[in-house]
Amino acid sequence: MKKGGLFLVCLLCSLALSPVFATGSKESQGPEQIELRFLGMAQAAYSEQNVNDMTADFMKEHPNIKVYTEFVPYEELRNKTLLAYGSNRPYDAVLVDDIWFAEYVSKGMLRDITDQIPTSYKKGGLAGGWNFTTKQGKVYGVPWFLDTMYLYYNTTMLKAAGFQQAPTSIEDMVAMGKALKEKWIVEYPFVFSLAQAEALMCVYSNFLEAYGASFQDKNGKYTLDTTGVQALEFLLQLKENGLLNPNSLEYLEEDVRRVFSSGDAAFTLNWAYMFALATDPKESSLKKEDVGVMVLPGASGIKESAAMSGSMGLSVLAKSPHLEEALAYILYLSSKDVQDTYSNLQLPVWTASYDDPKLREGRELLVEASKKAFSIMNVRPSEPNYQEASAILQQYIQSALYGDIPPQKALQEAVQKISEIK
Amino acid sequence: MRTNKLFIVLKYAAIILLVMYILLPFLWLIIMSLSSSADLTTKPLHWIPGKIDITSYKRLLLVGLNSRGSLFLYGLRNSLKTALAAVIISIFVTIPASWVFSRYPGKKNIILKIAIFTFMLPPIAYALPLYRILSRIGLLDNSLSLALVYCTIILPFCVWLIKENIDTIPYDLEEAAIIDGAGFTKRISLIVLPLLLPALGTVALLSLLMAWDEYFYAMLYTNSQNAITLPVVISNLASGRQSNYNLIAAGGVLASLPPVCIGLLLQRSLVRGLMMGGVKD
Amino acid sequence: MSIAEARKCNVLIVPMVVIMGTMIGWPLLQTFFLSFTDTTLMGLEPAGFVGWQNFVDAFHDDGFLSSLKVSLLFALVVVTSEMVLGTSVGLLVHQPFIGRSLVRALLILPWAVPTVVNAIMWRLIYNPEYGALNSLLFQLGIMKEYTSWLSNADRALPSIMFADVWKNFSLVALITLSALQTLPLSQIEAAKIDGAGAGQRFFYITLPHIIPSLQVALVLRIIETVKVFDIIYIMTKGGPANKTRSGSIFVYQEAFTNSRMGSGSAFAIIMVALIMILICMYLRVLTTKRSS
Repeated sequence: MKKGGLFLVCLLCSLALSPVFATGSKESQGPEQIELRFLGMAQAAYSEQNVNDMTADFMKEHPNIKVYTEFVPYEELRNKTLLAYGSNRPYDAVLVDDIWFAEYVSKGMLRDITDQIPTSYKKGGLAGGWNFTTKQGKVYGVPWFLDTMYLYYNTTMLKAAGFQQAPTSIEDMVAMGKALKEKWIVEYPFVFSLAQAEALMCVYSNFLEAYGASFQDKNGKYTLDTTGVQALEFLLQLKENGLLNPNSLEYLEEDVRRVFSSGDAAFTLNWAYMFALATDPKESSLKKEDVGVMVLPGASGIKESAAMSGSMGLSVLAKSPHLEEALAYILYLSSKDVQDTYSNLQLPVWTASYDDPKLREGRELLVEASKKAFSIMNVRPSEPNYQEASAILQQYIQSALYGDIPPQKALQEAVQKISEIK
Repeated sequence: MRTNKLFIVLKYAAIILLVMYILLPFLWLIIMSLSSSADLTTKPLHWIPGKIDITSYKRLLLVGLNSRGSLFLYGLRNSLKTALAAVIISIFVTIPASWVFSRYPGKKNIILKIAIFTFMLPPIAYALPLYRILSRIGLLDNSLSLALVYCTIILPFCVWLIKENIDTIPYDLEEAAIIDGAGFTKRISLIVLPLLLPALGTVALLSLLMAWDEYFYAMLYTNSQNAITLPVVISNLASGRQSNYNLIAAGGVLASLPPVCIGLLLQRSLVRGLMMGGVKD
Repeated sequence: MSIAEARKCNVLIVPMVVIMGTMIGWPLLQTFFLSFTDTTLMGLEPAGFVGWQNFVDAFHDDGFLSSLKVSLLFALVVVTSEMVLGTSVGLLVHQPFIGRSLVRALLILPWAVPTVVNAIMWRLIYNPEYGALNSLLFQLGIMKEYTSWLSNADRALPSIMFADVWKNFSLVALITLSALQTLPLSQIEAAKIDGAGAGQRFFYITLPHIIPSLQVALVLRIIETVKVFDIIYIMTKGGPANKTRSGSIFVYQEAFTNSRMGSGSAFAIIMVALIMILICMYLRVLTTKRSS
């Protein structure tokens, strides 16, 4: 027993050095072999598996390039990019959320690829895509997907309550929710991803849009203390009336998907990827005819529909020694062929794809909704300090939803804090 | 007599409660790892899975370029590498130092006190400059430099325990060697070290477990298969946008296996190690 | 021992001093220096000296102050529960009963489970829809409906505390147990002959015997819980509404997420000072008690 410890340490030592674990050591490779590192995101669409398949195909076409993919959850993606950028091994290509472009560019992290973009990409891509990857007239990334949070509703539940049509306004939607609850069809008609994370901002900003409001005035000053109150009061009302699933405050998108797919909610907001999964018998107890999807309707008398961008692009980091190869890789990932092949969970960024009957088949609702959404889509503030502003807003919005601070005061304090950011 | 019986009943009730308290959470983790997704997303839950499903273990242990399995195995390898390197460096460095502290007390005790004092510092207090230093000399995302960072946690602990142990080795043994003209190296390696070995094993194991457990530095300083450690791999696996509860659970079970096995097998020496610093006081 | 000899053996300490100096001392000095500047993470702009500004700001930053409160509350509740539960379990397992050695072996299980796994395990258990806790309480009829644990503003921190206690009470229990095993039986026998009751024997013999070991565990646990980071970070990331954000998480966010190393360092220095004060106070109490 006494010497057991030492023995065990020795055993572990030999294990660590044994060839089983030594697979990571560099194999001897040809002289022109180039290694790329790509940082992506662990998510549903494009899934890790999809990206790895795309990458494998890319490597087949370019035998001299070996791409190592890494995936981290969205919550770690920005931190990891920043931290790795400071290290000696930054990534070559990274996935960038639309709200991060301004910050990354201000820190000089992204390679300006304005002149390297093929014309076919410039002309063929959805216009909205190039907007968020362009800063001060220079292009810093290739759009990978355009997305927004769509309103998903359970048609069967609505029908059971006597509603044949999808809601036409926010008020209409709430009325439906009330009826569903009163008729005991579902306990909590609404579920949203309101955890203290960017997902909360995505939900909130969609309702902000629905009420015709925006984050900032023309000078970039945050004005949510006046404009944003309505949207927050709306969410608070839902919660206080027992219409919103109280667990929403710890939910991210995947939790919301599970709840909706199990038939425990009638309405939710989520990205495009949920459509395929909510109708997939392996992932969901819902049938195809149960799932409706549309662009979130606006508040009556203010707006017809509302959409806030949650798009992402691919960029080459300025420190990458392999600009050409990294660019080839991200262009490949966002090429029309690849995007059409993997369009099951994520719609392509190519205008022409949307006329393809194969793409529309079985999900006309979603394709119609996305066409509409992309034409009206607004963006969250793209500023170097957005991340911090967002963190402050998340805290105060949650406090308001818990009933700790009245919405008006919460947003006032949040805006005050944001103005004090150094 | 009646109170005695009541006492026995209460005692056994308490013990059953205790065993349930200890076992149930971890048992549930194991069950989750062997369940199918469907079993884990019903309301209320199926406590016993319909059939044993080991696909999550397969996914974590099968290797291929860019696969989840290879990342997990890299994590395992790096964790082992880092923890062992940290322990070996720490022990190697502390043995002579502790010997000095033990044999020549006095002003050198200040250094010992400083070592113990560093226990109190939150890692966050030197994580920032360490990050800058490592990044400047290009040693981020590197198992060896991470091991050196881990020394900050392990070293003070080792100094403390090893010194306490050397104190228990009688000085007379060395005096004989001094008369024979033995120098420091001989005195340490020939006389102290053999007597120290059992305690050293315990200290090494405890430090190994400490390094295995570390999350904060690994999260900050590693990002790829080069050096990423198991705790970071599984925390990424379990992060927000992942709802394969069985896969997460399987990762947790696999990561616990080494320390739990060490713990169950070598409990006595581990606990003795934990007591070393304390009992003498 | 001659002076020359003592000087010679200084060489033996050098490696340790070098490692501690480069990995702890130097960074600590830098943190101290950084805390008077406005350095950023990427360091594009040259850092400027800002004097005591970061410290002044820190004491006006309610986010920082409330995160310190979370850390202290966490330490207080968790350590107290662990000491009470751990000591009782140690005493319980010291009793003779069938299967004793098995139960004793099991005691090490929670302690051996890595912190990250512990956090993940409890997060799964607390899951509001598919978690074991809700399901269990519901099926036992204790609760009429499912409830949320980690997103309930009042329950989130206690839930995390519970998870931490599960892992670390076992350490206290193990230490208590091994201290009890060295308890001199002759003393107990003598006390029995003198007519001391069970309560008296416990308070005059058993407790004084295990207290020294418990004190070490206590200090270690206080130190560890005041700097708590990983279990909270993994379970809630500090949410909801920052109600579980500890001091360490706050500093991490300030320095890395918000890229402000300068003020982040100032916060870190304040935390170090706080921990030192706590420990000194504790030692003070300890020595006065002993001398009296």
